[in-house]
Amino acid sequence: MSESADIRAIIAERIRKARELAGLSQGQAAKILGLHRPSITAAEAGNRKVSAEEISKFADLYKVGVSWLLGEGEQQLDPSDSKLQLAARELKKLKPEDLDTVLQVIASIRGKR
Amino acid sequence: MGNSYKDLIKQAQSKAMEIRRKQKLDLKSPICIYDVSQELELTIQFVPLAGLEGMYLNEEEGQRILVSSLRPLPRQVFTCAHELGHHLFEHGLKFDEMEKVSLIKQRDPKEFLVDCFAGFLLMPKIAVYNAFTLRAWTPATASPKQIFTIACSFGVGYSTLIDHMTYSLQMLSESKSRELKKFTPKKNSSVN
Repeated sequence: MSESADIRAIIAERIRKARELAGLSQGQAAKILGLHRPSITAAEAGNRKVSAEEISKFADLYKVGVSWLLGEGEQQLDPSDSKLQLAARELKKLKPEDLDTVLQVIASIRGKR
Repeated sequence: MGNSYKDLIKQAQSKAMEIRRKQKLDLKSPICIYDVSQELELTIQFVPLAGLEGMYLNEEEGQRILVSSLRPLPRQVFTCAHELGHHLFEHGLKFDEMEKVSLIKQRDPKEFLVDCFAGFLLMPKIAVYNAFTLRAWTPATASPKQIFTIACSFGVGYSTLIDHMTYSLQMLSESKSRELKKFTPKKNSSVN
């Protein structure tokens, strides 16, 4: 796979993950953004290029950082992240699936820098 | 109830009234907690959290309240108000596990404080009295159906309203509270 295809796959995965974290279906996201649902499907599958304007709209809608959508930072924080250490005792109480969700949300917020 | 808890109730009430006043919300009407939170520049995000009611995130890039999308709508409303309390009282990152977001069960002072805050913000005393008066009902003789109707008007759960009226507003006696709690809207679809 070429480097550009790799990047496109990462962006596609992040767009999908951000939509899921925002609790929206592909149809709902398409309606809000004024797109056809297959456009969202294709973007999330990495089957089409996504413009800078679209990335910005996705970031606004999904409340995540543009840079995170573009592949910067981790998709999911490591629980040993220094800023999370303060809450390490609390983190241990979380169910594994909740911990994954929370770490993904925090990673996506940090991409707003 | 000890003095320290009475102080927490006063603090919670004062902060809730301050928020209503700053946002020009009267004291007799129900509010949309999501609008109130967004007015304070908080992002509200509904995410599928199986074991959590909600969470307050205080990141450099912005503060955010996560609310479990898997919980009933009235529970989501109270959870959002509860997490808003953590934000306003500057408690930092907080997780709130399932079923722990409820008044009086909390003995952790911070949790007790934000539970009371949520109650006062969503259901100020004047608003609760107003809800009864408008319908020509009285709290002391209220039926489960009447309590449920008023809880719905505030967007909160049946037990949440009873707890708030009993422990924060002191509009219901503990015996009346126990009597009302024998009914649950989910199990008694024909409460009277």
